Amino acid sequence: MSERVLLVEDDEVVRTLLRMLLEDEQLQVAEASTGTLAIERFESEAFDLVLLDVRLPGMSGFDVCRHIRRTSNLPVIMLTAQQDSHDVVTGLEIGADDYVTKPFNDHELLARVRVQLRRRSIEPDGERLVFGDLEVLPAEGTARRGDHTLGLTRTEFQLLCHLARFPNRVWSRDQLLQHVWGYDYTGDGRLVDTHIARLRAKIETDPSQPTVLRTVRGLGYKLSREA
Amino acid sequence: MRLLPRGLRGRSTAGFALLAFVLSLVLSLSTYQLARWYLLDQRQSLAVKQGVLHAQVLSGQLSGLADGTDEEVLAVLQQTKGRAVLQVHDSWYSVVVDLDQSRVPTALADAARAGTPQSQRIVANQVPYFVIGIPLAASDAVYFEFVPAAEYERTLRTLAVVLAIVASVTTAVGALSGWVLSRRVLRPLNSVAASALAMSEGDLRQRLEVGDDADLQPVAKSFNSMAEALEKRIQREQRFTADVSHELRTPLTAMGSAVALAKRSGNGERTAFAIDVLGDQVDHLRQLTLELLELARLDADREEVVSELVDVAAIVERQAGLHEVSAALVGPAGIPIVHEVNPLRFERVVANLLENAARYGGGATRVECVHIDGALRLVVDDAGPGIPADERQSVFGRFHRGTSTAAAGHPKGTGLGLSLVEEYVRLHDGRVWIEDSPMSGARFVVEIPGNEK
Repeated sequence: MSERVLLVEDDEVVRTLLRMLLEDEQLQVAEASTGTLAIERFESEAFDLVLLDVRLPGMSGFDVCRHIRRTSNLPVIMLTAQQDSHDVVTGLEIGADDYVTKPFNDHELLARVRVQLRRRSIEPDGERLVFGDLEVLPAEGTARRGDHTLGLTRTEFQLLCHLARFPNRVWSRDQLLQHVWGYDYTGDGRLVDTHIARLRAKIETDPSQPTVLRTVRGLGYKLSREA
Repeated sequence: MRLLPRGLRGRSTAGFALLAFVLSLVLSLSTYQLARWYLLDQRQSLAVKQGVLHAQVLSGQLSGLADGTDEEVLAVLQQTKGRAVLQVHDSWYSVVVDLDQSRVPTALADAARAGTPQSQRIVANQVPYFVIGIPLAASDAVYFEFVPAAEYERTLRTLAVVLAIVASVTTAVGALSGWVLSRRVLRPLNSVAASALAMSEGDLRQRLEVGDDADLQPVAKSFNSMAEALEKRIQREQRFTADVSHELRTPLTAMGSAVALAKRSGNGERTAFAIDVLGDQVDHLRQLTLELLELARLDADREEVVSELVDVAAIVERQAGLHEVSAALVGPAGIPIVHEVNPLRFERVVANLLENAARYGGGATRVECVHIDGALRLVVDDAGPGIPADERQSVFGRFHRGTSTAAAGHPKGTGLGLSLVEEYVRLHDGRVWIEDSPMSGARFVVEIPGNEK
């Protein structure tokens, strides 16, 4: 059973080459050249990952990502133009799990893809992690606040699980990038920050005054047990 | 010694002062001369009138005393109550001991004797007098009188002092108005200078206020149009760089992927070699494109760097580890050094310096990261050939080609690494410079100030 990737890219040559590279990794690839086509395929088929070019003619990659996030926590990797552009921040804010800047090299891209795919296969079992009224169930892949099940993306959930397994321990951005995103080199701290912000918006009573997911100035983040 | 002060302002101040001084000097001198002449004239005619009066009285008395004794003549003379001297035939009579015939100027005496009343100013025993000579025709005598002129002298002296004071005050006022006026004249010039400076520091949006001064408008307008042209030109160049780099993305992505694919398929030795070369070149081009884009963006935006408190020691340690600078890492050993930086950029700075050391200096021999007076200081030493003093600025230039060559086994650099270091450090309001390392190689020093807000 090989995993299915939805590849959204408007340049035909690049798309074909990426498809071949992904197929070399034993992945099944479905192609879409526009946002509209991508959404059509997303609605009608099942995928494990979306590789999404941001700059698409017509409907943009952001619109596609927003559409996907409305119904799914499917991992989304964006292909962006610039590391520091608004593209990255916008993409992360609307729920992308990771991004790769063009022009990328194949190792970089395939490493990101593998991390996102591996993520869903390793789930330890039987754990139940409780922080006040927040409850994390890694085995079921769900988190609850009170009676309410939280709609988390896969990366958000992974981040929460990782922090929850080590209560009160402070994790630096780089450590989180390493453990949650699988970066073995220095990555973009904004990746962590945006996900933390999105997570807070979902688990904190008042996201601007976080009591559970706390920032330790100059060092990183921790999930705090004492409220 | 310089006679003229340096600078427009000093010169105009001196000019105004000089003009005021000359004018007031001329005015004062002529005033003084006029006053002196007038006072002298007045005082002298007064003295003559007095003398004539005394002479008339004396004349009457002398006529009733024809062939009187010397004592009788002297007694009559004393009645004039003045400092009188009388010559009758060849005999001289004087009332005051010191003021006798010897004090009477010869010319005056001769003129009076010839029948013309005269007056003259003399100084006797350091006291100024007017000497008046009046002929007494009836008695065949000449009457002289010394009238003190001290009061007149005092008046003149007071006038001179007053005039001198007025002249110096005028000069000072002249200098002051020169200073003030030149400041007003220079104020627009100063704003031009400030704008030009700001532009040279990269703020291309600087413009001057045109204002409503008809004399200044042309200057401001031409400055502004120059600034506009410059800004447009620079923007065009920046956009060009950005556009070119941007346009290279898609082909580069395609090339990279194609090379990766080709590498995976089995190839003959020659093909494999060719593909490797292609792959290396694509990587190089990719790196170059990314760095050019980064620089173009830095040039265009002059963006505020988003800084946060991070453990810079961890970053330095990680990069030192990646670049295998383990043995000589001085400074933090697991102790956090928390400083406000943009972590991505700071890491790039460290990485680029270490890469540079590896490429041209045989690898970093020592990396130090410390806090000094609240500022963060990063020092990277190598044991390479060092960098000559005259190249220490230019190595930060884009695509700088130095005299040194890359070490074997290291791919060619993009020529932009140190430019990025400089730009990033500048974004942090910091400085980067080069010294000699103790191992005779190069030492790169980065200093990033702390945030004391």
